[in-house]
Amino acid sequence: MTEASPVVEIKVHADSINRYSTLLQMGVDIETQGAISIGTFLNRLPGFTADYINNRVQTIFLNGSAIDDLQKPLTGSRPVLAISAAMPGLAGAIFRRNSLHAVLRSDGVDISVSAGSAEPVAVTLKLFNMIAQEKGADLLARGVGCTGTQLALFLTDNLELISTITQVILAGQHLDRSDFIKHLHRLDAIFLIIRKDDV
Amino acid sequence: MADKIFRINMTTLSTTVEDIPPAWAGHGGRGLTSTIVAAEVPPTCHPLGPNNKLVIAPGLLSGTPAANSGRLSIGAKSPLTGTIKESNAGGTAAQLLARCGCKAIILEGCPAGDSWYNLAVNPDGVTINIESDLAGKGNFELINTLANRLSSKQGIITIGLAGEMKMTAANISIKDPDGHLRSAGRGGLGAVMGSKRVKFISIDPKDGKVAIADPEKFKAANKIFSKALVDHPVSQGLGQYGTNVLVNIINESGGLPTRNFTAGQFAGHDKISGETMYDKIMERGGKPKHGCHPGCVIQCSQIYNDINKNYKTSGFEYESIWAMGADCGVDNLDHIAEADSLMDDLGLDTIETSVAMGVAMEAGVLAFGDGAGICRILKDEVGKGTGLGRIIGGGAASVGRAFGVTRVPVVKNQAIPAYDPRSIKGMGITYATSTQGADHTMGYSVATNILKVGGSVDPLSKVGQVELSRNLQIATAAIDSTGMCLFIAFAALDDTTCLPALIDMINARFGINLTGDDVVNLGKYILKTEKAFNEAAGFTKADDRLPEFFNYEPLPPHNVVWDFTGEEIDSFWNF
Repeated sequence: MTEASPVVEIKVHADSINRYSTLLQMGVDIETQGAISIGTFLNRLPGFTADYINNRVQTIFLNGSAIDDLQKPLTGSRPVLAISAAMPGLAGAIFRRNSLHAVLRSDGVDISVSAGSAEPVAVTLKLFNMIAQEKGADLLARGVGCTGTQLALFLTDNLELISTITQVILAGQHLDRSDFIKHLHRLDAIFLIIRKDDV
Repeated sequence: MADKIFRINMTTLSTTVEDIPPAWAGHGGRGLTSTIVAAEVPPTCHPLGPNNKLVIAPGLLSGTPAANSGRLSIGAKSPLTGTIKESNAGGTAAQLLARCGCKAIILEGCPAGDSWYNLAVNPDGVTINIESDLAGKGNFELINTLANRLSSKQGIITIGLAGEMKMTAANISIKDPDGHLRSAGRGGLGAVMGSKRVKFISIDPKDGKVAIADPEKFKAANKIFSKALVDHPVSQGLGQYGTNVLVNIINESGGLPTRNFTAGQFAGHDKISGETMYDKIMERGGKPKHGCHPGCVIQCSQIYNDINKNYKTSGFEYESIWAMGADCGVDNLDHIAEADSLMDDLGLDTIETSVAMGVAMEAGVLAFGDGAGICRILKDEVGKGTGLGRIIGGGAASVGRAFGVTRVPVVKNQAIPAYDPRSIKGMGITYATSTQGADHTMGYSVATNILKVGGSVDPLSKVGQVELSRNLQIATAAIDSTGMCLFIAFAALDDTTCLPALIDMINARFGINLTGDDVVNLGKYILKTEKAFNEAAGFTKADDRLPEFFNYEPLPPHNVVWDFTGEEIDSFWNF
């Protein structure tokens, strides 16, 4: 995925925009400079102020491992970063940042802290629960990378959302909302923008 | 009104109302059920025979206006594990029993003959009645029928067909404020109630009230306590997504047991997650927030409607959705909801039964991912008590024995719930050492910092990790005695006003002066009492172990194994 991928721009009724935030639980691609810290990466996302990151983002996984330190660099050729609010239960406490219970994580799943290359990387970003609800709309309005199939499956599982779409533009061409899903399966990578229709 | 013990002898079909022995007076909830079971049940008795006793106890704060104080503890010797057992649930029964002046119900003996009975509880005591209409009926029909027979405000404690058939995965259900069900799910206690041939217990407090020694102090403490709960960010997340908010997180950690514990991530996680469930609830006119008992300020329950926008289930919990979902490879939330509803009607523990289904899938009884098949087996096999149905209704270990499966995720015969101990080792320590078989609720993150029981040994050593797990279990046992929902734990962990306010409420309720140390000592007493019962029943250190496949089967994607030695686990009991 790059911003050179076919752009799919969707406008939806304003009151339905948060329903689309659920798409973010599947993971979307964000291009960024490599070797930057998790905190820096998050801070560049729309609405992720330092205060929001410190107080609201309480659970972070990088490549499947719970993270305490926001200064840790994004690692791997295709980092997967998942973020969440504070979670319930002993497991929720174990995975919470800087928790007393963090010692009850498994030793074998810690990650390397090597900085890696400064070349641009595509980070697969997953936003869960309250974080997706609170910041998902702004992120989708800015645009994210995903596959056409991913968007098609999401809409197929949530067919009621089709009626909330007021406009679809694929690679500059307006499409009918009722049958544009069939076009998506052909597209390996798209740059997806979902905005509120203010009309 | 002084609290009393309501004793029902089903052998003689007689009842008594008794004063509380001094040794029991300071206990409630789990502390009281375990104290009574340890005192009165021979540890080597058959769990379904006349010498076992079913003990039902409200918590220390039940029936008061304290927020989130509606949990009812039910205890006995478990027919599933053979250990002492306490299982608790919400609903209205705890508060109504407390208002009857009932410190505990002790249900003992077994009747001769084939009759079924109901018990009617009110402040004067208990009446035993022959129940000819509702035996053989599911929980939903029972609740609907009793809605016409009894006043709507009466509490109901009931068993379904699984309990009648004495299946060891049978639960005990409790009516909630909306006429739906909450379940004391674990350990097969529904089979114990079935062995006493009691189909249901109704509770009518009439105009009974719970006395509070210092009402002003109580009110002030409750205000602080409630605020701490409401303000906590975890409470906010629970109120929107319920406990099922955990699916994505545990999946991301690689600790979501999938396809009978063969993987730690489930490809269909996004189809069954709390986020997806929330969207479906909103789309179908359900309720994302719902309290399982009056006075709950967190409201982690929800009303889940089917595709036609008709009520399907409520209290749709993470552990149930995981068990029927990832563990069985099912990514259809509506199939999972249907199975949840069927199990509620039959009166089955959704964790035990669904993990049993996962083992059955590995055995080839049905294919992984076959959600419709699960529903069919529940209706046509378990519900009708066929041979296969009784094997599955006997729990995961029962299925493993019947089909020769070696990957059977149980500790002390009880199914391991929704957190793989290879990936989340802190849960593994709890599963191994719990006095009641594998149970994620035995060691909650309860205020270990405030109670100063967080641990004194190097937390990065295994000994230190075992110590922390021990202290979590001590604190949890104490909280389980109050009648409080365990979800108070999050606020109690972070808000320094929360736990002191809880202790202040107990002190104001009874006119006493408990301290934090007393709470810790109560937790220790409960664990030691339960352990002593188990040892007398024949349990040894060798039973405090995870199944061996966790030691030699690496769990993808992190490929970790369980690596605690027996000696390290045994250090849990060094207190």
